[in-house]
Order: sequence, then structure tokens, then C-alpha cells
Amino acid sequence: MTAAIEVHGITKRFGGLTAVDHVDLEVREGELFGLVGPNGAGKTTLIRMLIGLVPISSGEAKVAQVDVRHDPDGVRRALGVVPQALTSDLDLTGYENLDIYARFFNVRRAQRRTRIEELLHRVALWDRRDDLVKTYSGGMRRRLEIARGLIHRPKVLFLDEPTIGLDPQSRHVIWDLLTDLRRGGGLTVSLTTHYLDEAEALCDRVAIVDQGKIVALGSPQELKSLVPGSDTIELGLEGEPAEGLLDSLKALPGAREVERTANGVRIRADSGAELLPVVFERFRAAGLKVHSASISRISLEDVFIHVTGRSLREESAARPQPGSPRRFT
Amino acid sequence: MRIWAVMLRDLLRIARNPFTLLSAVLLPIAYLVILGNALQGPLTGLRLGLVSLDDGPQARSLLGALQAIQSGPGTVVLVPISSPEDGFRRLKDGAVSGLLLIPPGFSRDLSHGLSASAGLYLDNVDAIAATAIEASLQGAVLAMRQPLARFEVHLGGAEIRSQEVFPKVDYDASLIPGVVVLSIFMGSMITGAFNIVMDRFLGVHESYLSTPLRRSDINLGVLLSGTVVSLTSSTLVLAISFLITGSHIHGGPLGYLAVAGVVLLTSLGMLAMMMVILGRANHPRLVGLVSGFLSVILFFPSGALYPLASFPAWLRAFANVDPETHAVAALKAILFRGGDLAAAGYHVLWLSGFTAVMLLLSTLTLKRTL
Repeated sequence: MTAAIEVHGITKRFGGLTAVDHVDLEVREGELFGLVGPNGAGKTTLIRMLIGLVPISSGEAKVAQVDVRHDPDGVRRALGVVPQALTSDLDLTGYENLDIYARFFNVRRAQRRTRIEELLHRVALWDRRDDLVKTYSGGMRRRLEIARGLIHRPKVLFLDEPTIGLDPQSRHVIWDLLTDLRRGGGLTVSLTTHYLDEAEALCDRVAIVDQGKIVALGSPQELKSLVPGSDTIELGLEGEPAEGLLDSLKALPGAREVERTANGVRIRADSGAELLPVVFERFRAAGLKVHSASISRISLEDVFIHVTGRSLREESAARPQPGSPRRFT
Repeated sequence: MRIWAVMLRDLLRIARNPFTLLSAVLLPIAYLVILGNALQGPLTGLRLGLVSLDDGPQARSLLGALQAIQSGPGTVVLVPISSPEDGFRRLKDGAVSGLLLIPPGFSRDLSHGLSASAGLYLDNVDAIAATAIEASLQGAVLAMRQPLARFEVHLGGAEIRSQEVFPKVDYDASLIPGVVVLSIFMGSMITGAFNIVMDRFLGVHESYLSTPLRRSDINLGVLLSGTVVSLTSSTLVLAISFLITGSHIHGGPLGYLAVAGVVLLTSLGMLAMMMVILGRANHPRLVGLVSGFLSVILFFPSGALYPLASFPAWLRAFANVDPETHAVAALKAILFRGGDLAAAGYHVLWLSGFTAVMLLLSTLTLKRTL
């Protein structure tokens, strides 16, 4: 199968900061590929280099078999982009927004009408086509922008954090839309997100990006297999467990990994349900009170913690994103 | 098609915010009305305090001449004051703009063939008012010596009669070219580079930079939409100005076409110039700041208000490369010289060169990346 996106040793430096550091990547045609990582990890910069919005410092990249450095216009003709910021024109109607963008791609009048109608039906905005976008909700604007990204029938669609800032209901509408897009086949989708559940639910393969590098790559299943065990037990404790106690937990049958957390311990286990009563008993015997406990299946969040040693949720909250558009505050 | 798409996007957005277009029409008209009334016409009603300590015939003659000025051109209004002390107090308080003190013995000295002085004390905080009062007094002293008014200027035995070559242009009407150029400049402030910077500030530009639009598509599309706006606003300004001043375009349809051509060239040139200067700015506040500065430094030396001949050499040199100077001169030539298009030729040529250079520079300097 041919590659829709090929990246070799691509690097971006902003002065002394290396935002993307010698990344190699290959995305197959028709694949829904996820780039996940905290804010500031370099995901958006990587995508912007592939679109030709940010000059590449070094390395090579091809999108839809077109060289990004030598033919950026050719690349832009082949791809659709849904940027992270909401970028539709507020003073134009939904229909006008799509019409103008279709003209940017030299789509002929008859085709424009057909495609706009088809896409607006697909994103459930046909009834609101003549309303100014300023009257749309955030979810509606995002759907409109996905339609806009598809107006010229691109080979590759880049979606940068398409569900950021949306309520859970709108997020699921976008998820359904992305799933629906895949049904036609042929379209390669690159999805950038810091929602690991989103990547897990939608993507064929996922690359975890941290500090400008890809630290893990594979299908969600393959990535989860990197983490020992199949369940995660999280325990909140009153007091510090002794090192000896943690060693004894590690020695329990079915326990794969034990580590301290800010509030207690995290245990990777083959079966959380079987191990949990034994663990409770050990803490009770040691005189430590357990104030919370949870068992979950291994997720991409666990994979992120496993490969980076940090929680993605904490990272996302802490780091700003370089090159983000300015916003009114 | 792409250039038209960029234009269409811009024009639709402007059409949905008609207040911006309206402001480009109304503000220059306000300039015309305010400047026209503020700067034109003789000074009248300047209060001149009068303390006369002499009741002789020459003093009365001087007062008579001043009363004639009061009831004639009305430059001064005489305020009789009883004592010098009261006069000086009122002068210091600003109650009068000048104080004429006729000392005792003024008439006597003059009647004896001696020179006599009357004191004129001026509130020189307002230099223009002070000069006008001084000129009135000199006129009064002259009238005292030569009581018969003369209506013709004589040089030796020759008589000089002045004759205006072109139809009369009053001060209000003479401001029209400047007001039209101001309207074009305001149009370039609210469109063109401003729209690019706003898109960049809001992050909206990322989406259209992700399309195959070339730099020239973006630049020309934005500049042409701005030109449409400037052309519309300046046409409205011109029409309203004609209604206010009662002027019209000389030279028939060719005159109208010539005016439209100058406005078009000037709009495109100014918009491209703003794009060169501000196209890479990342905050609309910077656009406001620089536009405000440019609006003043380009307009005042343009000859729209005062002739270039009154400027010092360095300012004249600047005015000669100021595009507004050439736009004002070209419009004046077409509007006021009886439709003589040849008189505008040099300025139109200059504007064409300026616009071509600015278009090239604005395309080359426009940033195609984030």
C-alpha cells in the first residue's frame, strides 16, 4: 500500500527551541492516523510543516506523493485542513463559507453547488445554510469547517484538535462524522488530539508525540500491549506506604507493576478484580487506610504514562502551545 | 477565479458591516464642513479695549476710523474703558484681545506737526488675532491721514485690474480634492492590510493559507476589494461635497472618467502602500497607530489646505513624494481648471508609477506562512 504521508528526519527549530525533532513517519492511504500528545508536544507544528504553513528546518516530507518543500501548492491542492482554531468567517453564511473556499480551489460552479449541498447535508447544517456563522454553536462551526476541509475532495484531511472545547454531545457528533467519512474509503485522515479516548476510539494507528519526538507508534491495541498487564488499579491512601510493602505487592501473583502516585499507588495487573481484595488486605494489615480505589482497563493514557513517565492530563494543563493563534481574552 | 474569490470574501464581510463603509463617507464630509468653516473667512468681532485720555480732533478722527472698521468689515468691536488700569486688567483677564491707549496731548502734538504715539497692547497668546488687530489699527491710522477710500490700485499712472482665469473656487469647494483623498485614505485604513492583520490576529488566516492561494491572489484580491470600497466611499463623498458646495465636474463625461481614474489609481496605490508598511503586522492596534500617523503626515503637506509654496524646502521635498499631493493636484486640475485633463497629466503619471511600484512591493513582501 502506498503512503499518503511520508516524513523523514523532519525537524523544526524556533530559535533555540526544537519543536519537532527528527521525526520519521509513514501514514498509509485510507488510514485514520492519530497524533497524540500534550499541548506543546510539537503535533501542530508537525502538521503545519506538512501543510507548508511553517518552513521546515531540516528533513523531507511528502503528502499525497507531493514533496512539501518543492511543491507546497501541489500539496495544498491535495489536502484539506481543519485547523485547531475556529476559522470560518462569522459574517458569512454557512453556504457562503463553503462557496468561497471551493472557489479558492477552482471548483467549478456546478460542482460547487452539488458538493456544498451534499456536504451540508452530511454535517447536518443544510437547514442552517443561509444563517450567518456568528449564530452557530461551537459544534456547528466545527462541523462546517470539516465540510469546508472536504469541499475540494482532498486525498488527505488534516484535523487539528477537532473536538477541543466542545461539549461531550458535540464531540460524539464529530466522532460519528469522522467514522462516517471513512466509510467511503480512499480518504486518509490525520487526526491531532490530546484526548486519548478519542484517538483510541477512532484511529487505526496512533503516534504518541512528546517533546518533539514520536515516542511510541502502533495501533491502539499494539500500544496498550506495551504496558504490562491488562488492568490498572489506582488506590488513594492516607499515609505513605513503606518500600517493603510495595515490594510485597509486586510479588503478588498477577501483579505486573507497582508505582507510587501523588496520592497513593498504581498497580498494573493481569486481573484487577482478582487482585484488589488481596491488596486491600495488605494495606489493612499495614495499618494504611484506603480512601479510594478504581479498576480500569489499560488505556492510551496508561501507555503515555508508561512511555513518558508522566500523565498526559497534567502535561496538557501545564504547557502552552508554541505558535498558537492569538485570541481575545 | 481565486482573486475574485478573495475579493468576494472581503466584500461580503464589509457589506455585512455597513457602518465601516459609512464611516469612510461621513468622516471626510465632517472634515469638509468643519475645516471649511474653521479656516475660511476674515476674522471678525475681536474685542479692542479703548482708553482715550484725549478729546482732541485727531484722537476723535482715529476713533472715527476705528468705528468705520467696526461697522464695515467688523474685524474689531470697540469696548470703551474708563481707565488704563481697568483696561490692563481686562486685557490680562482675556476680556479684550487688545487695548488702545490714546495719551493726553495726542491731538495737540499732531496738530503742532510733531509725531505722536498711541499705545497698542496686544494679547499675543493668539498671534493671528493680534496681527489682525494690529492691521486694523494701521488701517485706521492710514485712513486718518487719507480719509478718501480708493477702489483701484495705481502704480504710477498705470491701472491694474485682476482677472480670474478659471471659474471661481471658494474655500469650501477648494477642500473637495483633499476630502476625497482623505476618504480614499480612510477606505485604505479599514480594508486591505487591516483585513489581513485582523485575520492574522484572530487566527483565521491559517485556513486560507492552507489552500492553494498564491501570494499574488491574496494580495490582489484584498487590494481590489479595498479599491471597490474606496471608490464607492469617495464617489459618495464627492457627490455629497458637490451638493454642499454647489460645485460640479467640468469637462463632461471625460471629466467624470478622469476623476474616476485618479480615484482608482490613488485607492490602489494607497492600499498597496499600506500593505507594504503594515502587511506583516500581527496586531490591529499597530494598524490603528500607524494609520493615524500616516493620515496626518500625508494629508497636511498635500496642498489640500495650504499651497505647497508656503512650506519650507524640506517639507516641500517631502510633499513632492507624498502620493496625496499628486492625487490632490490631479483632482484640482480636473475639477477646477475647467476640465483641463492635460494639467493633471504629470500627477497621473506619477501616481501610476507609485501604484505600480507599491503593487509589486506589496506582493513580494506579503507573508505566505504563519
